[in-house]
Formats: sequence, structure tokens, C-alpha cells
Amino acid sequence: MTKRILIIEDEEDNRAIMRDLLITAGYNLIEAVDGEEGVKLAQRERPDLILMDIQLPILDGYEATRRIRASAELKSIPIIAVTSYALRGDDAKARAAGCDSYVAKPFSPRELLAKVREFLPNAE
Amino acid sequence: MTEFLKRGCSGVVRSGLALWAYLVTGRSLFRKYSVLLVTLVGGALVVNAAIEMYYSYGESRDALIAVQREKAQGAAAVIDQFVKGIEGLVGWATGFQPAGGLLQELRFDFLRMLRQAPAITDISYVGADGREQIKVSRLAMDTLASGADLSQEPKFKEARANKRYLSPVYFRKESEPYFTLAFADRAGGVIIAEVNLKTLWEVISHIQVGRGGVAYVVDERGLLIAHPNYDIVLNKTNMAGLPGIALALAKLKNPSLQVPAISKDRLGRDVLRASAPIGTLGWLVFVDLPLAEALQPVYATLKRTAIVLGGGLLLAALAGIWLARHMVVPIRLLTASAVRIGSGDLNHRIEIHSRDEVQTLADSFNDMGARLKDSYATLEIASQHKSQFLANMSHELRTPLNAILGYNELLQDGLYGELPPKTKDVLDRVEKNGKHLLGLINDVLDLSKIEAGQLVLGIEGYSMRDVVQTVVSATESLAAAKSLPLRVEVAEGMPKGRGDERRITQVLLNLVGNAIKFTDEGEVRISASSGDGKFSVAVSDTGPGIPTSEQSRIFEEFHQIDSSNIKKKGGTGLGLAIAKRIVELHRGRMWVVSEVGRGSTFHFEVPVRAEKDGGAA
Repeated sequence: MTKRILIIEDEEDNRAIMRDLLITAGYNLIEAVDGEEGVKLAQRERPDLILMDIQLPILDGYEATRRIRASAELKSIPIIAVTSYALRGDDAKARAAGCDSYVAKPFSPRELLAKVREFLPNAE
Repeated sequence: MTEFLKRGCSGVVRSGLALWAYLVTGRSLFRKYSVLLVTLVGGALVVNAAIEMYYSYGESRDALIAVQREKAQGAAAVIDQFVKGIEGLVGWATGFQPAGGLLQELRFDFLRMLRQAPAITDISYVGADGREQIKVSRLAMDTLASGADLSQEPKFKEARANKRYLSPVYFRKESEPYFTLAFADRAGGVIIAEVNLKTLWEVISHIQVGRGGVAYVVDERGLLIAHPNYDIVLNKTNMAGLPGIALALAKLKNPSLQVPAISKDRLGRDVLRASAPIGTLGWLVFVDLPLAEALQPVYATLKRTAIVLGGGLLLAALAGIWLARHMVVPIRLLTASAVRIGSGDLNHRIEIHSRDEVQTLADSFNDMGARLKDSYATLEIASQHKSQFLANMSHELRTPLNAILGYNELLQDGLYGELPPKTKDVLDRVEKNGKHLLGLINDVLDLSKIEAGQLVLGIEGYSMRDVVQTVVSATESLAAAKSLPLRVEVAEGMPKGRGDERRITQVLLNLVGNAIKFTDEGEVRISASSGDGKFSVAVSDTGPGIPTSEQSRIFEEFHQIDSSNIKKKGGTGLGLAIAKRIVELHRGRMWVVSEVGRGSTFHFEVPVRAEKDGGAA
């Protein structure tokens, strides 16, 4: 079964880049544009990996991550934080909220793909 | 001696003035004020006391001289009376002297005179022929018609010539002073009386002149004829040798002469002297009082004045010091407060309630402090806005850049199909410029956060060895591309550090990146060691080196030795400025040692254990 990745990202351009990158790499995508929708989709779809933007409308990435981690069924899903907050401390904050890894924006698609493959080595 | 004293005095005065000038021109307001006040009040007191002393001395001296003169005049009057009495007695006898001479009658008269005037020891009558006709004496038998020839004696000749004769004082049998009184009668005979001057001694002795003072009488030649110490008189002392006595004698003949009141006595002591002439005898009564005794009341007054002056000076000094302190303490308070406000304690207020200009000044300071505080608050808010703006801007700038760089990479990787070689080259340029822009945005954000004091270090445990390793991993491909060996010397057994690992990594990355960037051949060497509670890290290269004049400026923002390098080498010009500030936030330091043509070594030190506020543990 094709691995499914949930992208929670409010910027259409970024979603488009990830879409082009990850679909080309063979993954299936689910997209959410804010934290609340992201948490709902995670519960409904049970993705294999979540790419979580931090600065999100309605519910920010930290809070969304905390809610996902609080759910017994979802807490084992790996979450990679993707944020423009390329500042000191953000990675630590993301990890504290429950993220498994961290990619700074502007990300290099090559690096993002490499990071995704750490968790999902095969798209199938 | 006086010359020496004079020089000593002027030396003391000179050094006193120098000390005064030093004290008044000193840097302490308190010292200046107190010295000035003490000088003013003390000076007034000293001048007052000096005038008082001067006049008190003069007045006392004049009063003493007047008293002595009165004593002398009194004594002179008594002595004059004595001599006149004897003169009158003897002169009276000439009235009834019969020419033929009833000698027995004369004898009785003479005996009565001896009884009346105890000072007369002998009285005789000499006839007009110069022969002594009768002599009555207390000491010898009466002699009648002795016939002794006295015609050539001055007492006979002078009396006959002038009716009256007073002999100089003579000493009979070298003991007592006498003088001879002779009167001529109408018949040409002369009555001669020998008068013992011992009586003068009694008069003189009864004159009290202080405790050590003395009254005495000298005759017209200066011979001492009466003195309380009778022995001196018997020694036939001539006083004319003393300048004061000689002058007083001369004044009898020449009244315009001035005789000084202070003179030397027989024993060479300074005395206060007054004199008075005795009638027409040409004798003088002197009253001497030792100057030391005479001036004793004056000295007592001076002493009292000096004590009062001393007390006054002490009070003046205390008052001056108190007053100066009163003036200076608020000024010191103002200074301390101004320093406090100046050093940033804008909440500090000065508490002075003196209701004068100083309070006004303090109030102005307080107003100034309040305004500064307001301005500071406004500035702080403005600065926060600026930082927030920069943070937002950096986000807003990075988001589109993210898309540009992302799509560029997807294009380069052929995700949208194979591209012509020319296009690939263009995409490389887009990537390079996009990344440069990203670097600039990151650096400007970092620097503005540091400048705004908002860059807070994330203090955690870290290993310097790991930091070096991370930097080496990140840069070895760059070095390899230029065929530069990257040598690493990390000391064994370095302690675990505490600090902001990511920021320290950023610093070392910047230094190593620069070293590789600016070195075309040779090597780049990284060394790290610890000691004295700090890590010492150095990055050496064999690049072009930095001229001495540039070595301090390279840590400034947007500074590169050759600004064309910014483009050529791809730096932002902010890296070193940020690196140095990060090190300083750790309470460390960064510096460079370099020589043109021989390469550069950048050093930095950070405490092994840095704390949140930037200080060492």
C-alpha cells in the first residue's frame, strides 16, 4: 500500500512544491491548510507521516502536534516540523511539542525528501 | 640673629600662602569652601585682635609712664621742700647776724637750728675777713673763734659773690653724702651749713615703684645721691654713663630734647623710666620700673586676647567646616544621584528639601530623570516594534524565497522534464543568488536581534569536540573543492561545556568558512583547547592576511577589506560582526592576529560554563 503523507501547510506555493516533490517520489498526499483541519484529517485518515508547518492559522503547529500526540491512536505517527522560524530554539520547541524531526524553511526539496525517506524509506 | 628670624618668618609665611593656595584651588568644593570661610572669619578675628593688642599695649604703656612721672614729681616736690626748708632756716639766720658778733647769742641760734633741722650736722659763721668765728657741730665740740682761714674756699667766695651757695655733693669720710649750703649776710660774713643728704634716702625709700622698681636721685653731674640701696650711693656711683640719664640731665639745659621712655638701667635691664627735676637744685629724681614688670598687665591682656582669638578661630573653623559641609553635602548628593541616573537608574529620585537653589536644581534633575524615563520607555517600545518588524519581515521575505528556491531545485532536478544546458546554467545562477539573499536575510535578522538585546542564548550542555566536528563535516567539501588540507587539533580531555551550542557552531563555521574562502593555497588549521575555565579556539589560514589598520575594523558590519570581495567570495559582510557579538554574549572575546602575506589566525575564547545572562558560572 502506498504510504500517505499529511501536509499541514497554509502556503499554497509550499504545498505545491511538496506535492510535486512527493508525488513524483511515489507517495500519496493529504493536505490541510490549518492546524485544526490537520488534526481532523490525521484522525480520519491515519497518515503514515505528517509534515507540520509551525506558523498556521487557527491552531499553530506546536499545539496541533500536542493534540495529535495526546491521542492514543495517533501518537505513533512520525511528525516532521517544517517552519520558517529558522531561529535558535525552534527545533527544541518543536521536539518538546512532540515532533520527531525538523526541517528549516526555506527547505531544499532534496533535503526534505531525504528527511521523509528517513521515516518512510519506501513509498510502497 | 634677626636676619635669620626674618628669613625664617618669611619662609613660614611663604609656605603658609602656598598651602592656602593649594587648599583653595583643590578639586574638592568642601575643602575650598571651608578654607575660604575659615580664612575670612579667622582673618577678621586676627586683624581685630592685632589692632586691639597694638592699642592696648600703647595705652597701657602711656598710662604707666604717667603714673611713674607723677611719682617722680611727688618725690621731687618732697625733696625740694626739704632743701627749701633748710635753705629758709639758714637764710633766716643771716637776718639777725650782728656785725660785731655776739658769738654766744649766735651759738644759741645755731644750736636751735640743729635741733630744728636734723639734716644739718655742722653750722658755722665766717667773718667778712674769711676767718671762722664760731662752729657748732653735732659731731665735735663747739669751737669759738678758731680763726681758721676759709677766705679761699668756694663756699665763702661763691656765697659772698652770689649771696647763696650750694656745693656739689661730697662724701664725708667716704661715707655719707653731704652738701654745703652757704649764705652771705649784710656784713659780708657767711653762714655755712653742712647738710647730710641721708634724709633723701628715707624719702626715696618710701616711694613704692611696683615690686621691682626703684626711685633714686642724681645730682647735676650724674652722681647718685639717693637710692634705696644705700651701698650704691656710698660707692659714689656716677649714673651719667647711662645714655637715658645723660639725656635727661642734658634736657634740664635744653628742654627740647626727647628722652625715650624705655631705657637701660645700671644692670643693663630694659626699664620704663620717668624723671622729674628738683626745684632749682639741678638734681633729678628718676623712677625706674623693669619693663618686664611694667608690661605684665599688657602681656596678660595680650594673653587673654590670644586665648579669645584662639577660641574664636576654633569656632570659626568649626562654623566654616559646618557651613561648607552644609553647602557641599547637597552638591555631593546631587553628584551621586546624577551618576546613578546617568548609569541607567532612571527611577532614582534625589531627596533634597533645602527650599533653596539646590532644591530647584535637584527638582530639575528629577524632572530630567522622569523625562529620560519616558523617552527611554518610548524608545524601548520603538525598539521592540523594530525587532518585531524585522522578525515579521524576515518571515515574509523567506516565504516567497522558499518557493523560488524550492521550484528552482525541482527544475534543476528535472522533475518537470529534461532542460536545455543553457537553462540549467541560468537555474544555477538563480540558486546562487537566492541563497545569497537568504544568507543576508538571516544575518540581518541575527544582527538586529543582537543589537536590540533580544538574542537570548540557549544555554545547554555541549561538547566543543562535537562543535569542531560538526564544522569540519560542514566545510570539508568546500576545502576539498579548493584542494586545501583542513587540519584539526583538538586537545584531549576537554570538559563538557555549557553554552549556546548552535551559536558557537555558527561562530566557528563562519571563521572556518572565511578561512577557506580567502585561502587559495596552503592550509586551514582548527585548534581547540581548554584551560583557566575557558575554551580557546583558533582558526589559522595561509591566506593574504589582514593589514594592521584593518584588523579592528573587520569586526564591523558590512566590512570587508576589498568590498568587491563581497560578491566574489559570496559573504554578506556580517558574519564576523555576528560571530564577535555571539562570543561577547557568552562573556568571551574574539580577536585576530595577522600579517599581510603570511595569513591570519582568528582566536576566540568562551567560558566553559556560560550562564543565561551571559556571565560565567
